[in-house]
Amino acid sequence: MFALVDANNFYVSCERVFQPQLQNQPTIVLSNNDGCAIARSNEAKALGIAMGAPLHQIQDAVRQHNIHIRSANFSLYGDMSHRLMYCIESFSPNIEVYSIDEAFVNIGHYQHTHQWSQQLRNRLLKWTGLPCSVGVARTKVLAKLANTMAKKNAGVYVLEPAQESDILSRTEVGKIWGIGRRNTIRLQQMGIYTAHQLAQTHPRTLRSHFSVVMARIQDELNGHSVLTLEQAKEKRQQIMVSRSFGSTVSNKQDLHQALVKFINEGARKLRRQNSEARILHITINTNPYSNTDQQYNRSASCQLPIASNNTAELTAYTIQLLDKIYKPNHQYKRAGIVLTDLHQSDHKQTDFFGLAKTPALDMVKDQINQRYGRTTLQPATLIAQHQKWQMRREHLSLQYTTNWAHIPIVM
Amino acid sequence: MKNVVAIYSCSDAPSIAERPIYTAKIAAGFPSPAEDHIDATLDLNEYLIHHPAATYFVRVSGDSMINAGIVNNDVLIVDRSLDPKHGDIVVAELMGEFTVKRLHHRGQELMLCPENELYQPIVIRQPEQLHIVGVVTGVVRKFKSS
Repeated sequence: MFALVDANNFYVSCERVFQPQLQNQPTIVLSNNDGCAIARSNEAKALGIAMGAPLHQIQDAVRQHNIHIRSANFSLYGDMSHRLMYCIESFSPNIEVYSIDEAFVNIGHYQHTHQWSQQLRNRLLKWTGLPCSVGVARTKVLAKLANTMAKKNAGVYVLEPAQESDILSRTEVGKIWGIGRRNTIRLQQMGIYTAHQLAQTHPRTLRSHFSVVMARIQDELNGHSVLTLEQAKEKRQQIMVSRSFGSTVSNKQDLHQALVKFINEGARKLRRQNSEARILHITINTNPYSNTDQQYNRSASCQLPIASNNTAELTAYTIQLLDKIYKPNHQYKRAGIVLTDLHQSDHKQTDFFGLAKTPALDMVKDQINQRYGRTTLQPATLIAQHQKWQMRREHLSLQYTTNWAHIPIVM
Repeated sequence: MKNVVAIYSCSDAPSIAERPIYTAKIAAGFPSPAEDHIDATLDLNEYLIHHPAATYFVRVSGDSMINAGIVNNDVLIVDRSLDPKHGDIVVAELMGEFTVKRLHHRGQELMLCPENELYQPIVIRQPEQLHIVGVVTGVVRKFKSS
């Protein structure tokens, strides 16, 4: 049996743990740059705020119904996510962290699944303050379904084998985990509208029209567990750091500063997964939605002679590339870096000259930044008062669990 | 709107600040008689925090708990995993704010008690109204800030 455990309205719930005045109030969390709603409390959903609704479109509703707004606070959400996962693991050790707020748990042949689910929910609410839902079923795909049903069933739903065909008959094929819009349309064209119909389709028919992924989904819908828990996290094949700017920049120094920050972050991610990159790619863009700004979008790449994850080295290449594509008198709205052709850190191909690198220096920097804060040690160019390209986050709450200056006040 | 991707060779190595070549740690030149007896160093985290995933820090404002040795600006260690018992110092949520008080729970009597004669206990008439966030297991106070 598998359980899928997830936090309800995770980002909003994180905010509510530390700002109890938001409980029961319609609340939404906005994406980077305060662009659109990426999380909504149940009250906000009831008021008709759609997922992904751009802020400027819902301003009237916000004002009319006093909807509380928060900017995405990933420092907080990331820490709360770790806590959530540790708590789940303390309850049941075989977990697979699936996303920032979801985990699969393999509970084997345990009998009292309903009681187990309730106890887990209660523990998570107590230890983290986050209300969660638990769906239990024979396979991961079915557990995902059960979790959706749990949300309408006081937070727990155990999908028994005997109920499977009934539930599947009432589930649209597009709602199944792993089936996207395109496949939904193709299935519907074949006369397959419900999950039950998909489960009953002849496997050969499916194989001739879809990939093996669909075959696995079918197996899982029929109660045959073929997707096991993935314990190890796969290394990324490509690392990208790109952002839209809060306000446009046109001078080279500002763009330089933004790219230095991104490459700094990218190099850190490389080191974290013990990879080095051989190809560096940068892009700079003007705002595609502007009618007045002259459009200018350029990219540049280079191949490094030796794969690297060294910040200083990658920064130097980044600057060289920027020199080649920067043009003055443009309003840049976005920039980014991509590191690819990744190699394991340990298997290095050195060049003939064996240039001495200092991985130790970067490692010490990472350790200091981890302990004292991400920006404790950073390239000098980033220490500036006004970084014009920084994200707009006007409704940001505090780093309640990761910053001594922000911990909650009690009286 | 052109989107040109250009590939440049980096055959000329960019100038990077010079870095030292030595990366080896300093090793002691003699075998220490204490080598076989080295224990772990004392760790405050281990001393103070028993359920890290359920432990939070909060900062005290005011003097309502002064007689319990908790003063303004103290950092309290709050463990959400513990079940609050009569006599525990707890952090509770009351009307949208967090408060730290001693829990009094004897039979039907449910109160949040201050430790300062100038303050009144908060009587809880309906137990469902009381939302205890966690139990205070320790206090941290620095005399000298870094």
